[in-house]
Amino acid sequence: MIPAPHAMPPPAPGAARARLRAATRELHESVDGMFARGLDSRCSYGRYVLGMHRFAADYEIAVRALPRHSAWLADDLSRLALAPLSARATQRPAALAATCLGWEYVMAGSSMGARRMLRDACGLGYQDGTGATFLARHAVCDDWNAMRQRLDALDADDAPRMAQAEAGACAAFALVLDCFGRSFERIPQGRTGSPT
Amino acid sequence: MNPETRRALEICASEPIHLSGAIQPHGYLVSCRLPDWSIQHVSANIEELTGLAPEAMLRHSLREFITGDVIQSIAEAVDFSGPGAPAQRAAVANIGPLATLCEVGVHVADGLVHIEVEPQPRGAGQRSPTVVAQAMIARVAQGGGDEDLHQRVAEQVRLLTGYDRVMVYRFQHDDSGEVVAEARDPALPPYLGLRYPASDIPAQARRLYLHNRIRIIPDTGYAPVPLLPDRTAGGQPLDLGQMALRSVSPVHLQYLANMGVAASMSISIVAGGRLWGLIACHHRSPRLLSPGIRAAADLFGLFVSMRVAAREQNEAARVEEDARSVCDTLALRLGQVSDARLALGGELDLLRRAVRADGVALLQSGHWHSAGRAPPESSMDDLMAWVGRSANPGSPARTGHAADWSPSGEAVDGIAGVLAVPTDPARGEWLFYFRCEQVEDVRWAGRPDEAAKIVGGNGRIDPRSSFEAWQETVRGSALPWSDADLRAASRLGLLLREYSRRAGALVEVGDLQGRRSRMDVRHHRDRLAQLSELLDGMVHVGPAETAQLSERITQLEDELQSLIDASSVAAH
Repeated sequence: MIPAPHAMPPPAPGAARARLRAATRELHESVDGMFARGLDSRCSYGRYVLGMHRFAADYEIAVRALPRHSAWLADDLSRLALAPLSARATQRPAALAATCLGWEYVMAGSSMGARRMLRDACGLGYQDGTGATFLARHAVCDDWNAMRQRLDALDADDAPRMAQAEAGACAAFALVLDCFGRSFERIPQGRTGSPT
Repeated sequence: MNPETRRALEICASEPIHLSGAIQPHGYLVSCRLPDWSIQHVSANIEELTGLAPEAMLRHSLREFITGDVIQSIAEAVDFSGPGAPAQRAAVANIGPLATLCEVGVHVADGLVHIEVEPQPRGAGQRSPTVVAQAMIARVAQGGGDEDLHQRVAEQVRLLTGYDRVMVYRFQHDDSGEVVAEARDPALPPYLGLRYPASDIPAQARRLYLHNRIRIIPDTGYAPVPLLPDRTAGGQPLDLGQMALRSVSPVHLQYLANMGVAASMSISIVAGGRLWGLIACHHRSPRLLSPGIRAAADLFGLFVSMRVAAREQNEAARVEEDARSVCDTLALRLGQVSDARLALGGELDLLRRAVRADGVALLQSGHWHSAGRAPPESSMDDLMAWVGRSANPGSPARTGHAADWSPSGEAVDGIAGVLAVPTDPARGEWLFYFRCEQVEDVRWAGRPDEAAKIVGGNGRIDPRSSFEAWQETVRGSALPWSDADLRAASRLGLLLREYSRRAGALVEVGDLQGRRSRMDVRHHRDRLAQLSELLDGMVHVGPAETAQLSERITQLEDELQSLIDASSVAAH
């Protein structure tokens, strides 16, 4: 029996976040699988920066943000003497606020792993301003806490908005996968970032 | 060429080099939207110039960062050049907190004003580019005739720029390139006469060079500077095709590095809307030329383009004049005969003079008529199969390679080049011109069949690493047919098509008259047969009447015979 709306309990805090996590689990695991051993070499670090730059540049178009993440990554690319991956096709700005939120969930979520990756990058000799500007700044930003608050405010029972947010998050993860696919092509195993 | 090399070259040729999303680090980019000069894109290194992070500049007005007089100069350059035009030098100005003396270039694309800023190199000359180019033009123009024009061009550009090596590089009909003139440091090995495969400058680069006339790489070991953002507000990749600072393909940088080149510049030579060639400059160490020197080189390149175009036009005019003269003579002669189609076979020597060819053949009513050097009649089917395979069947076709039409891939009776023009495509009637095979010893700059390779099986391309001269004897090719040759032959083809059409009309009228005559004769025979049947009923007539009848029949026989004799004479 379906309870009447007024009888339903209020959505648990984090319900929308859990829904987004579930919707993107497979894609997220695929991305994690590409860096299963973390950033254990200059080759894998080059792949990470190159792919992440392309994602950040397109992400900022999707959410109509000023280039902040991509600017940090552009600095890292120059330090690594890597040519950026060129923009492909058209990346349209997300039309709906909830879709934007889904995209932002992915970028903000990446700051969680940035702390561990920064340790790897430092081990390879990269620091803030010397090739690891993005990770250094992304790791200490407050984006994830802000995102948690926004997601807690999202009604997980609002099916249309949840669907839009899930679509945005899935599109973002799919783009991340594509960008890393390209960066792995550009920097094959054993290469540390010489131009191809 | 092995499939892997072919695949590698296809990947190279599909790279969107105008969408590299980055510039070279010897300058800065700011792109604005008018009328408010709101900044839409900056290069990631902009802080070096302005002391401000990209985020602090984007979506602000350029007026907050650059003085009004510089913006005024930029606005004037924009008004003067218009959308799609190449970048213009707009101003020399002190920019940023350090008042860095910079050259400012500007062009309009994608509805944006793209402002390229380059700090002026120390000791950069202040001579006006126009004055410098004028002096160079005067020296080349006064130096002699056309035969050593390219050598003088190479020397003048080397004098201006100081590069170790300056080459005039001419594209062949197959888009390979040959060094036709060279000025170099004597310590360097000569490249004069070397041929480079078409894939060294792939098709998309050649298209770009038609509009972006001058390119420079001051240091091939540079680290590219990404643009922020590298897409337009609508999300399309930003087109950097006209930018002087555009970051080039990593494959091209590797190619130059493999050649031992640390800095380069190239200037387009465009004639008749086609990329005729390049003035290519190489240096063994990084070398930055000021925008002023580049502007002089650009102006000089325009002059060279005009000289080359004028020479090509003169040559084309001569070919067309010859063709026109042949057409006039042919029209006169064919106008005096009753059957122009029949008469054409006797005019092959005249037809041959219309185009610079070694031989000519006419395929008419399934018959092969030829003059001069031509393949045997047995090649007719192969030639017709080739014209049938052409991109526009029924239209003129040309090739300089026997492999295109000869099943053996080799020249037939010494013939390799064919130019085919339809005279009556509906009947499969064509006029062919032929050129003899020219066995050519080509010295390639490295093996062309190893021009590039895919490394690691993941789509990454490496250009060849060896540029050592590699000799190849090329057979089965003839001097390529020019556009002027094609136009001349086409003009003649139109004339012949007109005569063919008129003759066809006459044949149709003749057929109708013949059919009528045959019907009349059949009718008369029937009447005679009816008369003979009447004789069956005259068995009872007397000898006098029989003699009279016999005389009448004899008279009729004589008259019929004389009529038949007369018509036979007329038919011959």
